[in-house]
Amino acid sequence: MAWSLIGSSVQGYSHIRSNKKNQDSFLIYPNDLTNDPPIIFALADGHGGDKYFLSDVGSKFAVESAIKVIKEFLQDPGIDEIDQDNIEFFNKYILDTVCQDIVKHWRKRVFDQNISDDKLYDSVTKQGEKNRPSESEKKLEPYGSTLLISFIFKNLGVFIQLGDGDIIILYGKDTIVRPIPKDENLIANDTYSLCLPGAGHYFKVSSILFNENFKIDDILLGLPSLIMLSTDGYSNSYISDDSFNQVAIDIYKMISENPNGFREGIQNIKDNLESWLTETSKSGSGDDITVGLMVHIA
Amino acid sequence: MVNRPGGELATRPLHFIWICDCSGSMAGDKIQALNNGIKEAYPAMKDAAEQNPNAQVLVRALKFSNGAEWVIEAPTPVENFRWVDLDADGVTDMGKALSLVADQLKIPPMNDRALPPVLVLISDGQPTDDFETGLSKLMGQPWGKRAVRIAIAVGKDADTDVLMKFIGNPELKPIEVHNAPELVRQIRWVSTAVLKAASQPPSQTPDQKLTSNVPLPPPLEPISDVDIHDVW
Repeated sequence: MAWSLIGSSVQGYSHIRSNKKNQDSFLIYPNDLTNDPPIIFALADGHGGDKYFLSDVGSKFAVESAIKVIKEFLQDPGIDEIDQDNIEFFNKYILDTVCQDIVKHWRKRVFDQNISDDKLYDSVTKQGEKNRPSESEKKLEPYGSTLLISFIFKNLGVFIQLGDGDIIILYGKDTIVRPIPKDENLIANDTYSLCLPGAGHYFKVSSILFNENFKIDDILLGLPSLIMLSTDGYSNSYISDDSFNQVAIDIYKMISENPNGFREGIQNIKDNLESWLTETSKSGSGDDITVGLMVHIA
Repeated sequence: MVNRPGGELATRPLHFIWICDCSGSMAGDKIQALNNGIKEAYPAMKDAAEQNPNAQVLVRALKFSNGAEWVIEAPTPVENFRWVDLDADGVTDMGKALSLVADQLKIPPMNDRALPPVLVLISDGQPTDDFETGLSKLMGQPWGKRAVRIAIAVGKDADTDVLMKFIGNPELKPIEVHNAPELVRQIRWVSTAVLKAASQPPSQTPDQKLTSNVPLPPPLEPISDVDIHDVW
């Protein structure tokens, strides 16, 4: 079961106008055109705004920490024994170990930075004296970032999410499944973040065994066609969930129906993705947009 | 270039709602200043909205006195907004006004991709109905809780305790105005500076310690050289 990984990240249209840098990051492992599992895609959305003035660095640390921790986890021989009977236990194990390790690693990267106290003090005073955070919160806050991860090991797909953003799986040509449902608490500009105290508790994890007999509600879905991860700037640019889900459907159609074959179809997506995202941000949310595509090569 | 994947794109809606006290005590130059303020601020409000093409500003207005009713009920794109002069008469059914707003902030008709709504409550008195029930209906809605809630206290009889409850954040105070030029000036500030801040909010952690759902610009300083005869 081979996969192709495609990623792109663009500066938001409103950020171009206000001269703010792109605060998103993404990282792929391994970074080849086609790959057999294990494969990992991580992307992160730095919060932006005055309080999070180093969140572009925070999102970079987030994806690097994710890839490092998961690569180590994939050496664990226990992962070979995951089946439908123990998958819930496995999800909890990921939450309790992998997610906590990612937070620890991200924090260490942040604490290793030497930001001048003057700069930190500016950030704190803007929030008012009564809101003065602890010393460690004060150091972490400027780097605040979300994190979305998808990794595949053999026929096991694992999805991890902290904060806003979207992970969707396309089955067949037009069936969309969200492995992690939308969090109704995260509307407006609210998000969970690596910089929060107890950040590990805000992660959500879902794992799926990819096989031909995979069903949801007695509907046979089989193997996925495509997995799409994206920062919230992407879904916020579409008028409805259906319009957003159509992205995955259209992309897979462009790949699978390319007259010159599947690989040419993937190259076509790689060539055009950045300009599509730029157009989408301009006519939509204005936010930075980062997308990760994991395409199952039939 | 190959056609962009996905369905219809859209900018993010930003609902801006004027909640106006039209009780008898507002009659005369207070209601006139409110009407003038909103009309005079409109061109600047439109300019502020145009500065962020990724937010679609939708304006509505409701009044409360004996009961509450929408004056502009449909979310109206700012470029099509026309103010309808309000008259003042009757009591101060502020609770009913907040209940009406709460109904409109439910999901649906709201959706989860909107920007935080801006609610501007302008009042010169004390509620005569069940304010607490109206407020709790509003705060029971996810979008009510996350709204940018601004209160303008008109004159010395305005109930600032009630307006503080509406704002729901001890670090943000009602804007106190004591004369017509000051009310006009503060309405303009809300229509522009607050609107701009709400139209491009950075992501934030849902931390109860924050001063506001959206970082707001500092409030205007009051005008000091006012003729004592004009003070409300």
